[in-house]
Amino acid sequence: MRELRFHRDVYAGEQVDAALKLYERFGTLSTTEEGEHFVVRIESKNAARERRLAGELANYALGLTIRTRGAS
Amino acid sequence: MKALIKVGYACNDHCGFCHTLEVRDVQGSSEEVSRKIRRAKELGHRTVVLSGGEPTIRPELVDWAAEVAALDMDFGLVTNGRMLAYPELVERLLAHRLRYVYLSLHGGTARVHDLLVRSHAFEETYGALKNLSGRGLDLTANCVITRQNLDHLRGVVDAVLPYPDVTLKFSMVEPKGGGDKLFNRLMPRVAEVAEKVRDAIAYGVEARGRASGPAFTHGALPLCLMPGLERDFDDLKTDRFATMIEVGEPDYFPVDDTNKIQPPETCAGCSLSGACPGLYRGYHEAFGVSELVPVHDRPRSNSFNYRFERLVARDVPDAHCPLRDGALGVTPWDRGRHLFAANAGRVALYRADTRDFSDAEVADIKHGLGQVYVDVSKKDAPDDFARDLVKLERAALCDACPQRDTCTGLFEPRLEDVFGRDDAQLRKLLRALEGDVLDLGCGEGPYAEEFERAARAGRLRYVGVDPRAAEITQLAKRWPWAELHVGTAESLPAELGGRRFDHVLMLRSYNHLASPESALRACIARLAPGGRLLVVDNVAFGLARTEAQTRRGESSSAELEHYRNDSAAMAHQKVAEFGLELLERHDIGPHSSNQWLLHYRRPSSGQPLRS
Amino acid sequence: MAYPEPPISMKQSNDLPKDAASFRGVPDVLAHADLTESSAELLLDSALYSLEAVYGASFTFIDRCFVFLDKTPEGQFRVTLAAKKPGATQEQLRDFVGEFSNELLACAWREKITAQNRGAIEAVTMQALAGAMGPPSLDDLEDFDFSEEPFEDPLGIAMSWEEKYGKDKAKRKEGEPSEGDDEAAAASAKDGA
Repeated sequence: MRELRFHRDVYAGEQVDAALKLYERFGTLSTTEEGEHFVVRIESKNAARERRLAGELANYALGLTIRTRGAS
Repeated sequence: MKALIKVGYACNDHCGFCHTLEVRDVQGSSEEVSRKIRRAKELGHRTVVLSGGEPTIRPELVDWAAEVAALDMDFGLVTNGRMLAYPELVERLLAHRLRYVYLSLHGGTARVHDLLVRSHAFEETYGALKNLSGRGLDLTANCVITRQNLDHLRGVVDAVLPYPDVTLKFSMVEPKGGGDKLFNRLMPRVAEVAEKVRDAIAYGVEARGRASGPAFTHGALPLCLMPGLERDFDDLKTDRFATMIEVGEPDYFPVDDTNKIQPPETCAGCSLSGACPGLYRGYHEAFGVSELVPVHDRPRSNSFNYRFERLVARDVPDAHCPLRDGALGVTPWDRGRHLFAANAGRVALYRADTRDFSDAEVADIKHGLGQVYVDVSKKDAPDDFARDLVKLERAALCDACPQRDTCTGLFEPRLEDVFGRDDAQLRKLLRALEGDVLDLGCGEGPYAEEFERAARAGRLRYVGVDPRAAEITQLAKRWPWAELHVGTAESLPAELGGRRFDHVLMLRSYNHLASPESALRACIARLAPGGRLLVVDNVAFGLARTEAQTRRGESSSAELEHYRNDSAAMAHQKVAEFGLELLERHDIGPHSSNQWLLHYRRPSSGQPLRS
Repeated sequence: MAYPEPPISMKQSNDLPKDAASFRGVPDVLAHADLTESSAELLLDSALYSLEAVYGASFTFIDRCFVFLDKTPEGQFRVTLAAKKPGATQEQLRDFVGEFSNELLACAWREKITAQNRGAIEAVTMQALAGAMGPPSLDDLEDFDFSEEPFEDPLGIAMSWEEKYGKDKAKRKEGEPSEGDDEAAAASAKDGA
């Protein structure tokens, strides 16, 4: 099991949701909220797949967040 | 943007006009299609649409849809729809991001539809429409018109009326494949098709009443034959297809209109030529242009936007071409509509979706005239070109490339104010003027300072004419040294009586004239023997802009003011008919701004003028 | 390859992983590698680098790394750059840190000159970047299973016209249309010929 902690100041919640929706069929994703973080727990067939799934999900959520918030 | 993949040419229908009649036994392999799906992702497409032949008869269909969705793209189909009569299949495809369906429906009844597709197909195709409607799809029913269904178009309208989210498109049959082989049996006359389509659309609009849909569009019909419906054309570009790939092709190619022609003998200068499909070449060869009725009295745009799509490369070494030497490739990019701009090792991709200009016009503006700029302003539309625009020109890297003349090219900023440089030449010419000057279309007086000193010193007598009374009133307050009148070049103000002038100026007013021939005739008649005519104007240009700039610009309510975007060569062709002597000519090129100049002298007394 | 000092804060962080490896010349608390995870981590002073600049630098890494951003209770930005393929060496991770530092400095600089509205030519790049923030590409997903069961076709609709009606007949109809051929073809199809 892997855990990603998306800080509210850094990630847009709706974009994290969009990423979860895209990747949910590749593993078991569960979400909670803890203080400043959206917490996503990831379970999949094996550790390598969990690592890949976590990474792709994080990249996707970050890309969407940047697109909506902008960057320099 | 969408990529169109032809998965193979087999089909469970057998339309008489089938484009791929001769190759119906050719099928692409699963691996080939998968590779093309991945390549579409690599090229930055957002949607992959499968076509054929008939893509839905392939057992890999759902696999391909899943693969497209897994790559974070939407999925689409160009289909006869028969397999989509299975609700379960529709559900599975929707789960894999089916978002676009372009379905062939050639008749509103089994009798008509089945006659055209030569199969027992109507119930399934029409059933598919029912399954697909209401599912949030971009859904088009395409009706190809042949002599066999020409009189049954209202029936197709009746069939789609229950489905308000459907767009019903009426398409002229193409003389290709079966359409070519059975030309005499299938091909109706285009003017008759246009008339029947206008009737069917009017019937549909009335029948749907206040309902939001269905919508009605037309394809491959010359816009001059569709008065009132010119904006309702529909083609691959309106559906945002950028590239396509046939079975066996190594890479994508841009969608193009090379199968159609706007015959120059009729269509040159037509106000509708930007988006007009013209005629199919095979049709033009058989029937000529007699049915076309070109339009010349409507204003046109004089610029278009290249909208930023994405950054495609960074840290690119000077000698490295990201297209030829990199993963982007050369063939997938439209020579005119795509723009790769490089700066400081980064390469950005832009795309022009404009329909105010045809593919050929866009390519000529970009490559022939070299009039592409980056808009560095924050305005809806740039108004101070020297400050707002940075010229782009072909990168030196392209010079020795063997693919230079077919590739869309790499462009770089030019570190020079080309507008200021070219305008300085004009200002120098204006400062030297003396005698009687008639300035047609003086507008807001952008060159006042060049006339004022000579006018106040009594060396120059300035007469300005402009059709806008408000401009003239404002100018009169600022220019006590000028004589100003409201009027047009074609119909000069009566106050001028029979006066002749030493100089007649048309400074950026020529392309605003509804009828340049009659305006030239009127103003050349005002030239004293030996007098001079100075015509200066701009050609159209493309602006590389960010998404936000493009959105703002396109939502701006600025009215179009140009009737054409003639170049120096085109204007000279018209002026030359009056027998003036050409003194100076500045053409547009990749190293100039978009401003051209023509300077003429009327023959001295005794030499006849042609008119 | 030479890189500038990572643009990282001197504030301390106490939550280093147990197997953290050092980068030569850089204090562990500012940037370190986690070889088990094939990742590198940087701490950035948010007083020096705006979130927008961090976004800008991060975006340029999305195609080669898994990028994760966080914020510490002290207000620093924590950037984790993980190699997409496991097994990255410390040298590779050091390169990530160096390149990210370069990119961050460039983004911060661009942000500054944009604010001052300088340089039309630089604006070309700026505008390009400003619009470039689409979702990252997924290079390949061959690891993932997306094989689907083929769809059943109980009615036999998917059979090609030639399979259903016979190639010879089709050929005759295509190549040698006779009078009333369209009608005849449709009729023959309906008859199941």
